Amino acid sequence: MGPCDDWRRQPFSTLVAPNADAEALFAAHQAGLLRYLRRAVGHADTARDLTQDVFVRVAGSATLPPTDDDRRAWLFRIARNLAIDHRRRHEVRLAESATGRADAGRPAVQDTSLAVNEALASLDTLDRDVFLLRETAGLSYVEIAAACELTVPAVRSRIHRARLSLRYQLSAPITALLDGRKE
Amino acid sequence: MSTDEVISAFLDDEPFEPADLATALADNEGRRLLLELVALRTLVRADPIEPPARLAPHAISPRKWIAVGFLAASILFGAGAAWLLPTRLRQSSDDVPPTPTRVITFDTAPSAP
Repeated sequence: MGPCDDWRRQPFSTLVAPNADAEALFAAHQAGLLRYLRRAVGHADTARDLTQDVFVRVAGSATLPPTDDDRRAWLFRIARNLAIDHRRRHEVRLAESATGRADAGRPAVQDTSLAVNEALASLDTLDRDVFLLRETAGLSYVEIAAACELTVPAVRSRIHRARLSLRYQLSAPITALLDGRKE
Repeated sequence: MSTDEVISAFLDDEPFEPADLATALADNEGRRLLLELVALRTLVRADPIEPPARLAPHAISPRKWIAVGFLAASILFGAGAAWLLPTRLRQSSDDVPPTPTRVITFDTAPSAP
């Protein structure tokens, strides 16, 4: 437990950064950060902790990037690095966090969510991060390129590859969703 | 731009030629792709549901084991004390000498002057 751990259990709304700009930046993107980190690490509590860690990093930085786009990319780069560190430290694979295959009697909605996690876990790490930054956080290709240190064409190509793979792997829940059925 | 690329660009608010999109959507496969990618986005953006926590053997921390051990030791100590204490109390009353039933006297020779 580090010196910042007592921040972890506070609700986000009570967190105050010494730098007002940093606080505003975090407030504007905390929902996207949480959504991205949930899928990136596959666990809501861990995602919440990592989101707090992002806040601590942002609050502790002396200066912020000059433009809004740069700030968003910088913020999500921090989040992505924290997710990578977490995965490396705990050797967590998303499929493992989904705790195995569908059990009989498990609610269908939960099965779908776990199936999404498993499909995401099967992707190349960078493909998954690029895809999640687009789909869960809404970053533009330019912002994703800055966050992941890639070129824009590489981002486009990775997103496309991830989509095709997920479309194939999740064809059953996708069809069910389009047909208005509960998968 | 291919059908896939133009539909991805449309979904992602990236630049594309409207004519390319029109061509892509004129095709059944293009329309199907667009719908499926929208559905995929919905699935990924849905709040992930936590799997039920599993209690693995290693999930119990050493600190918890120590606490459980301490609790078990306390219970054993308490039970032992409850069993031993009345015995001890009884023993203390048993230590009183019994009431004499016979008196034995010894005659001793008179002491020398």
